[in-house]
Amino acid sequence: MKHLVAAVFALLAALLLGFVVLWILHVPPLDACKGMLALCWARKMDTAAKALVLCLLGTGISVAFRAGFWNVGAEGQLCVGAIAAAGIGLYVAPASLWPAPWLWTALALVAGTLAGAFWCLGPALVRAKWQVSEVVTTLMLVYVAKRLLEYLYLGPWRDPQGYGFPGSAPLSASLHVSLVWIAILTGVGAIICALLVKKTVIGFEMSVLSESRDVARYGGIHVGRCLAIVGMISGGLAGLAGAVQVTGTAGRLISGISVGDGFTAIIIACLAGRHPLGVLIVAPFWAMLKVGAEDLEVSYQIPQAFSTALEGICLLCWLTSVWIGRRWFRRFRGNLT
Amino acid sequence: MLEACAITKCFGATRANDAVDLEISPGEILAIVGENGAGKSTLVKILCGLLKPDSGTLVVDGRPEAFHSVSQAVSVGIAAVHQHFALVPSLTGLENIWLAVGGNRRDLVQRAQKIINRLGLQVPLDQPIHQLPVPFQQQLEILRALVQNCKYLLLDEPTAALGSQDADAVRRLAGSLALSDHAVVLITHKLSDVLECAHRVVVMRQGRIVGNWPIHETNAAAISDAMIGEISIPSNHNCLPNCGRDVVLDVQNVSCSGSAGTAGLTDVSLQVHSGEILGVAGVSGNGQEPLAEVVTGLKSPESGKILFLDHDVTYHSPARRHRLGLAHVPADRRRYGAAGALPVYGNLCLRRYRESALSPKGWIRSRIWKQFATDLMKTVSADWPLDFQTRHLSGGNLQKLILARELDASPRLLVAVYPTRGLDVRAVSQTRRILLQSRRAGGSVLLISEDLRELLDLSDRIIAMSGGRIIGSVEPGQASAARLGQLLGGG
Repeated sequence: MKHLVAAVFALLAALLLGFVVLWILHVPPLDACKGMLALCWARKMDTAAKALVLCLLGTGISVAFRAGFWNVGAEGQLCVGAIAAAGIGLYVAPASLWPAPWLWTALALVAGTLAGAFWCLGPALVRAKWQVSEVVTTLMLVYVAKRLLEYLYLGPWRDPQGYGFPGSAPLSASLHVSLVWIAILTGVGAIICALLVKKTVIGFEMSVLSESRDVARYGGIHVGRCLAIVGMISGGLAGLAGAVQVTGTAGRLISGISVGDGFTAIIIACLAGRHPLGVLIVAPFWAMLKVGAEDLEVSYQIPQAFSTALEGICLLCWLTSVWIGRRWFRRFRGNLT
Repeated sequence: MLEACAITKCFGATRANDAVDLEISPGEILAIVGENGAGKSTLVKILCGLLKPDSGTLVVDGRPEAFHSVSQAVSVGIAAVHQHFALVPSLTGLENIWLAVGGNRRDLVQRAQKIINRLGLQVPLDQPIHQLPVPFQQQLEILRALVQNCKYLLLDEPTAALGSQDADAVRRLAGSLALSDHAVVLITHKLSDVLECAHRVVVMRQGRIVGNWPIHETNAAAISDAMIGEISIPSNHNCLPNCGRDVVLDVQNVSCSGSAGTAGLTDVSLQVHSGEILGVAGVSGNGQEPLAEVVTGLKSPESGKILFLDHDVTYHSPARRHRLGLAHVPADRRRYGAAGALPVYGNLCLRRYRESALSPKGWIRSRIWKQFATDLMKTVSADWPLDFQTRHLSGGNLQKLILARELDASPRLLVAVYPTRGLDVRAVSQTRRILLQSRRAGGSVLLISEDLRELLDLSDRIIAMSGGRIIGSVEPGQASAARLGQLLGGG
């Protein structure tokens, strides 16, 4: 409840501040909103795809954050997931796609998930063993993964028939997966994560661990195992998001795979109160903002960076409202006792 | 002359200082001794301007003073050297002194060098503090006070963290300071400090001064008598019938390193028998916490062996040891004992949540958890709301929560570290009662405490630790003042 109030306040405040920015840029805010919504509707498949990717990423991040594992490198895990899926689709699967195309699609998704999971396992183990901050390691691995992605689609995996445009060859059309399947996958993933976090012993261990490593050790929780599970779930979902982009929307490895969604999802996870199901509510709004921002660029010459700025504003507003809420809550309780 | 007249200071209901009168004259070394919580540190903090007394006056060289800050106290010539040094680690010695004094650096060097030569100090002024060993840092603190022309030096436990050679050097330094007409106040636990270098000794107990003698008119026994007060060996000392001779915990030649400035363990061996409370006495930081961590599995020893109920548990995880029947009341109950953000029932289930009775197939059954927690709370007659955030429990209630959880399922051994530290009188007596109940049920207790009275009240046998070693033991019924003084004084 507290989280919900904080999130709503943060969104309203961010919207208000966004209006102020638009007004300074001499853009009528309401018109801009209308334009954004219209564009989202016109490109509803893009919006939905974006929303699903953000859902997957946000779910994984919220699981990590619940355990106090500050995985801020979902972007990198997404990249390696995309690479693994593209590798399966382009180079492992035979041209005939024998025995069945859907099998290879599934394999690509699984490969992407595993790649992301192992990309995040390293930082989790290093944190468990030597208490190296995962904020640093996961973030640095983002750049490793991004450079790897660039190297592949600009170098060895570049499409020979691509007229020199950066990007890998397209995956066979029969490997593509429909948005419906992705939506089902996302929903099931979020529900499993929510159950894990709220209803299982591992979820309890995560909540103790997020509070204090010392208490966890004292209570007999296997800190390394717990962090490894959390890291692999978080990274795996991010990797799946990357694989979904390759097999579902982009259809190949291109620069558009990595546009900072992994960072946006951090804010989404925070706004959702680190609840996997909350992410399902918050992420679509954000997808609309991201897609709609392109309309602002076309119609009003407002750079796309505006949506990034709005993200930042929103995060700050959320942090402020959580802080204010905590103080207010304390005073309220003070009156009670 | 520095005079304190009828100084009183209360913290809540506790009278830390109760009408304390004290006189210190230049050229004198005065030792203030007393148990933990006797009010020594409070008195020092009042004298050096860190605390304001509730009532009473300070008179320095005939002028009444009321300090609002430490620098005011320094300006009339009173400076304290605390156990935790107030030095900036990245700056050099000279820079640290300059921070306090200011002015021309070259003059400062000359003044400092003069004092160094006069007293025969060895501290280098041009090295960063973090590269200096503890004795040099201490010398630097004293030097800083002297550069500021302080006549009255208050040294809080100056030898607590030092080896015997360095401790000797500090005593010699105190002697030469007294010769150069400074007044030195030593706040100490160690009777050896008192007997070897003080001119006069003041004994504090429960916030009052209970003894004030020139050193040649007293002896170690008289001082420890005054510190402890009349000893009543409680009836508890008769071993209960179930106090058997079979060994529950057997620690064999265990050594490990300590953390940040505190002693580790050096070749520690001890045994706890079934149905007995073994008390571990000593000033904190002398290896008690590493001992508890090694026994409970939070830390691995570098050498040695730990047997618990004839199992070699030296490298067992805390959870495995707990399953064998080892419970632990940690020293830092907020850091180790409970997760503050979790509800009360979550923390009550912390030890047992994995068991299939509470979580069949790994699924949390919150109704069973809450029922379990309610039952546990009944054992300590508490009724907190189950969803209450644990961080909002008071210290006493938190300790009750931990005890309820740890004593559930009657453990074979409870390691209780400073179990009553920071608790109010009611909570203290409740905690002690719970500990005795657990022994009555056949469990053993390894009780680590700084409070000698508590150890005497509860333990069947007491061992004393100093510098990471076990330095002696007292069997039941042999607790004489001299023996206890030896334990208190650290050898």
